[in-house]
Amino acid sequence: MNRKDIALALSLSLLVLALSLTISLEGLGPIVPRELRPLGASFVQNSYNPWNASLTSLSLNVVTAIVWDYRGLDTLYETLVLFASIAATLVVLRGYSELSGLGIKGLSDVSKSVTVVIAPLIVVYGIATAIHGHLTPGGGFQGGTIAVVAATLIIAVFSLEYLYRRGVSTSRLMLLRILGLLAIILTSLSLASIGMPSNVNAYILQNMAKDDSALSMPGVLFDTPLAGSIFLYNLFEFIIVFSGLTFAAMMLVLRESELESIKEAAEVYE
Amino acid sequence: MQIDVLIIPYVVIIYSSLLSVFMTYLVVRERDLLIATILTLTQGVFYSLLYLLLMAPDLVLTYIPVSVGVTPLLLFLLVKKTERFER
Amino acid sequence: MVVNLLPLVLGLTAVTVGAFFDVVSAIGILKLPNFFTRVHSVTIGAIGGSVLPLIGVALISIALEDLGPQRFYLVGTSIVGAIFILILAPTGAHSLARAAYTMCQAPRKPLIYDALENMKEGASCR
Repeated sequence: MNRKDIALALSLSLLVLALSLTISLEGLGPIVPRELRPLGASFVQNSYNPWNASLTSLSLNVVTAIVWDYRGLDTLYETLVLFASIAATLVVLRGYSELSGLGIKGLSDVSKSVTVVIAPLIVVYGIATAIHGHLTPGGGFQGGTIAVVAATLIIAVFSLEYLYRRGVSTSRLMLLRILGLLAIILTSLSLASIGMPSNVNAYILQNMAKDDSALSMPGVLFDTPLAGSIFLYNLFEFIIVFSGLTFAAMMLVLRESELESIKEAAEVYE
Repeated sequence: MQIDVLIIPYVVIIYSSLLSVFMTYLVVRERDLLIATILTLTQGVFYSLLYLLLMAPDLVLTYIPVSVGVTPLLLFLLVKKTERFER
Repeated sequence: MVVNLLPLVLGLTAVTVGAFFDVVSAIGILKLPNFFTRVHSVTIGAIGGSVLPLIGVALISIALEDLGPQRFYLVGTSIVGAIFILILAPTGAHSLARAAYTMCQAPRKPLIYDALENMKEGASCR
């Protein structure tokens, strides 16, 4: 046993000890600062405040309210950056050939049946994180990355061919991604385009009604706060992130040499 | 003996950040790129622990799938397409 | 303080037995001769050392009635986590062992009986 192993074992056991002390003593509690700065205090007071209708966003999760309502334009451009980076992947790997017809080999039967059980659960958890983004910690990006784990699991345990037979191809994912981005842009423009013909004040990226504009997104569904456009933005962001990252993973998994040999054989046969 | 409980999460934060630096050192020293990828994953777990202790659950929800799920897969694919051992 | 004695004793017993399994698995990782036997010992640590204590935590939180109705969240979280570890840990160990077998990456030195002898992939490296 050399010195590295001893250092690793000591540090890991000390970490476990410190974590259990933290959890048992205070339950991760006291790290929250007691005093808030004025900006933070105003966000906390206004993010869910039905009595102050001109400043609220009806979102119980303050982080999501800031990300998609108070600072919505920043997040819109972040989404565009993700979109452009996936497009850059496509530019680097251009000229790929996507053929189905290779056999499904995959891992053993045990791994396959467990993946069949686990992968839908992961996707459901991702969707729940996305569409509850205004109520609990989470949001569109978080839910999308959680759901991408299920897609990569299916690619690794079954094979890429399984996804093709289920109807998931890179061109369809690309289409889904573009539709999601289009939906986000249309949602951000919707209130302005409703207000403009009837000569009512409305703003781009507007969520709730303001002092000088009466138009508003739906704020409450039955008795659950819906937070208007934040719900829609989270849903569409989930679609963009899921399809974009699955697209990148599928592009990197393509077995180029085998596909090339199949293509050459088909050309010779013709 | 009265322990000041307010100080313990800060101690854990300092400790896990030091440990993640140690993991990064191991990643740089490692010649086998597969093992280096797995050590990178460990470092990602420590980072998500840091985010949890700093009360940022949204970042934890992003960082765990990215650092444990997506990044190791991409790195494994790169190792498979190039070489396993660093020269 | 209101405490149900039976679930509390059962839960504490489960946690203690789980700690015993953890110690056994740690000794096994250090002492066993072979990759496959060490994977077996890791699985003992995962099942006996995390599933049993999680069920024990659920029982303890049922017993402590002073915690109020919030304790049922703890019960549900522990039991769901236990079920997930129960499904996933053996699968991970299985795929690790299978990959090591088929890629000939681990020595099979103390070998008594090989049920996978006739399999196509792992046969080449004997």
